Amino acid sequence: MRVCLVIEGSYPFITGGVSSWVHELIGGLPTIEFVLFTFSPQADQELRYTLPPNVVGITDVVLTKNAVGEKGGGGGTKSRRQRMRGILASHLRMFLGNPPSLHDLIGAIPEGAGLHRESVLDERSWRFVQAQNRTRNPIYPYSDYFWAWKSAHDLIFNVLAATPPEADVYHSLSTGFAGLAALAAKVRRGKPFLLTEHGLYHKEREIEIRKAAFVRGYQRDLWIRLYNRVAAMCYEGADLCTSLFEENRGYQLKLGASPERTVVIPNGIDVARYSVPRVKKDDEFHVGFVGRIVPIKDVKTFIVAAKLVPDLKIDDRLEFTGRANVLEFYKFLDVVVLTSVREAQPLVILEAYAAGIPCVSTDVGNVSELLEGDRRFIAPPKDAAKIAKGIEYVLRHPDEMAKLAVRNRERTVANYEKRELLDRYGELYSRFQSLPARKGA
Amino acid sequence: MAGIGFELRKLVETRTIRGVLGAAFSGILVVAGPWLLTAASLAAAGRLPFLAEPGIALAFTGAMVWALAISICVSAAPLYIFVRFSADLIYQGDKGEAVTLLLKYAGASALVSLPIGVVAALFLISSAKGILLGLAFVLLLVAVNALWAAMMTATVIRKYGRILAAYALGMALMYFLARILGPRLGAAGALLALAAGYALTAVLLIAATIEALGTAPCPHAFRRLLEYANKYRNLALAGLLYALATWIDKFVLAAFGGVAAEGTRFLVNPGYDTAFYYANLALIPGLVFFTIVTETEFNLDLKRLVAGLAHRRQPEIESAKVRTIRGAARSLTKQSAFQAAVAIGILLLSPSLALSLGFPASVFARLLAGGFFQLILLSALNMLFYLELYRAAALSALVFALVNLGFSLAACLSGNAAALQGWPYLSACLVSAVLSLVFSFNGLRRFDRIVFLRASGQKYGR
Repeated sequence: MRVCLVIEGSYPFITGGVSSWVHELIGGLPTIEFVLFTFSPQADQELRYTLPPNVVGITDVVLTKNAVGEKGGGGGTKSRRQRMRGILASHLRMFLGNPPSLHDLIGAIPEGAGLHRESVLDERSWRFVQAQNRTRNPIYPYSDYFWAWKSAHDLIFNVLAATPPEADVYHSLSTGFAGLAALAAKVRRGKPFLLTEHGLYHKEREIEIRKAAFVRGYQRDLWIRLYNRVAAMCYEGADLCTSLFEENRGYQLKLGASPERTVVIPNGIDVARYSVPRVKKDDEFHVGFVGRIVPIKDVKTFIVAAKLVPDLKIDDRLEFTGRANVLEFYKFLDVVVLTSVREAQPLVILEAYAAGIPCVSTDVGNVSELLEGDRRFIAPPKDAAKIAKGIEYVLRHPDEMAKLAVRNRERTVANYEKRELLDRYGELYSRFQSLPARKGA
Repeated sequence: MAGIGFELRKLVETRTIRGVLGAAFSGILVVAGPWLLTAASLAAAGRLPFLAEPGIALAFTGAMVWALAISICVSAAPLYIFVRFSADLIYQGDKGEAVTLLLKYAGASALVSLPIGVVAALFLISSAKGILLGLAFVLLLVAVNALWAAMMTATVIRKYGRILAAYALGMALMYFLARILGPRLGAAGALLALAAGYALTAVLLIAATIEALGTAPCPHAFRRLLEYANKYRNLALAGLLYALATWIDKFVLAAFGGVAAEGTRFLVNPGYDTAFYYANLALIPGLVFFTIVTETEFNLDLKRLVAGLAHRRQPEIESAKVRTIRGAARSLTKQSAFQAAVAIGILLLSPSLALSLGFPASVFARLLAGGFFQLILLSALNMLFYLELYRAAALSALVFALVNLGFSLAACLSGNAAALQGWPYLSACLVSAVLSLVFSFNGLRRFDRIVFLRASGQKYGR
């Protein structure tokens, strides 16, 4: 059996939670062949993981690159114009509340074809964009609207024009462009589409867009609507949507996923691997932050929080290790702190639990559930003082923490064991492979 | 030419007789100064006693016309690319680099002209008697090709007095040498004198350009030029086709009923060629009008339109576009009315002109009408160049060439070549002028779309 993992902006080029998850999944299912169909912001990125032997191919698509040439490929000008007009008709139907079928929408752009040129040059397209601009963007410059419209469509054309590798199952790790590509593969090739969401792609994009000062006026609405619409299409078209925890499943249902085609499969880790022997180091209290230095991890809040703990004397004791073997650190850390502003179900907490380390974290994603809603260790995002209090509590209550560590470990073994996760995905792949081929949603 | 156009426009806008006359005179000097100086010098040389002998005059005229025609046709495509590359360098502030490019291009152009000239001479010289004439023909071709490039770059320095002085000195040398060499070497001597005159003009123009702009290294000049040629191949094609189109009726008529001096195949059709030459001189007022009014107004409107695309709301862009379209239409109408008035004025004089210069008045009338449409074609092509719609420009030039060729061949093959002289050129100019106008205004109507399309990485229309 061959599974195509459709991934945007992570494995195998970027490290992180989702990438680790994918890496573990592939390595844990050695009898299944995997092909990677990845969407990247730039070409020729360096591999950040040693690919397991059952990865038999990678097709990387640069999202911003028009890979089908200036004219767009896929037939002559006339047929491209007809397709573009089909898309415009679909837009109108969407605006009138009568959206076309996924088959019609995706079928308008065959693999290897793009409508980058027609979307501007064709008289009707241009008039359509102008009419939309008049209605939706009367205050800001036309170029704002045009570029938002054009960029959004070019990205979609790039995704839909890309030819995915042959596979028995298309498994996307998010909605967005990866989800759209997997959905297109399902519609065109009649192969099953499995959607696994760690965070919620459309929600994450919405937060980013709202924060970006350079995205103004209707551009903002357009991008948010686009990501929501693509997410809704993915939920509608996927044969199964999995999420890491119930709250996210709720969001999927809210956007149109059907209850019988959604399921929660929590993250899992190799508990035995992280069950490292504890060693006291330097007779000091060690606070750990395990994560990439990227904005969503909000390392600044961690540093401020550490400084706010009276007994820590952080001034000359902060060490950035770079990429490191976390097991060596889990041996002696006394508390692991997570200050992310956004997470799904952070693996680092599960790893710390397996290693017998208590955690203090911001209240993001599934953290509250992992920390059993214990407000002593949970802080609102960016609240360094509350994080500091949590650290201080751990520092001052070593006996209680020892008991908590045992309980956390037991919960991890019971609910978040990697083997169970792997078995469930193995079963899902087998089940989907035996589904009769059906094109369209 | 838009640069000098703006200067002259200021003079016109003084709304005084002195200002308008000054602008007109300066415009004529800028647009046609070198042309008129050359014409006057050749006319003066034509009065030299040795050129009174019909055989020598025919050999001189034939070799000169063929050298100019071959030079224009061969150099048009690379010259358009060279001009585009130089203009971009100058726009980017790399003026010294542009001058070095000129030196390299002029050198290469002269070098490439040598074998072309030799091959052409081998074909066009039919007996040993004409060898010296052939040699002079080759040298003239080399000098003219270098001069085109020098002239194009020299206009950038905007020192039109120096340009005219360079031509005046070159033509003076030509006249002086013609007086010395002509009696000894006949037509070959006159041709050598002309080659020397053009060579001196080219050198003086290049020197003036170097003095004004300096030089700076221009690495990989020819590789970059080739990249430009690849990128703007339709521009090169437009240049080549336009050059061919303007000569093709002359070639056909000469091939079917032309005369050549003994020992040569420099076929010419003196009656038609002279009529054409004078009809073309009638374009000068229209060209001046174009430089001062049509081009400057279009340039300003287009700049405003382009500048607004990035930050204006849609209704404002639409208004700017309508203003540009209407402005272009208005300028072209005014220009055409002006040129029509000039042409009608000359037409009224044509019987006496025809009598004194020895060509049929009816042919001259057709060529004047053709010139009227050619000016419109030139203006529309210029607009297409501004819009970078090179493919449309090439297509217009192709139609110009094909109609001119087709009708000329039909006229000659029907046996009515003499009666139909001028009609092919008139028809070709009319058809291609209409076509290029349609392309230009259609391009303007879609200009915002084209700009946005190009800004998103597409090469539309180039």
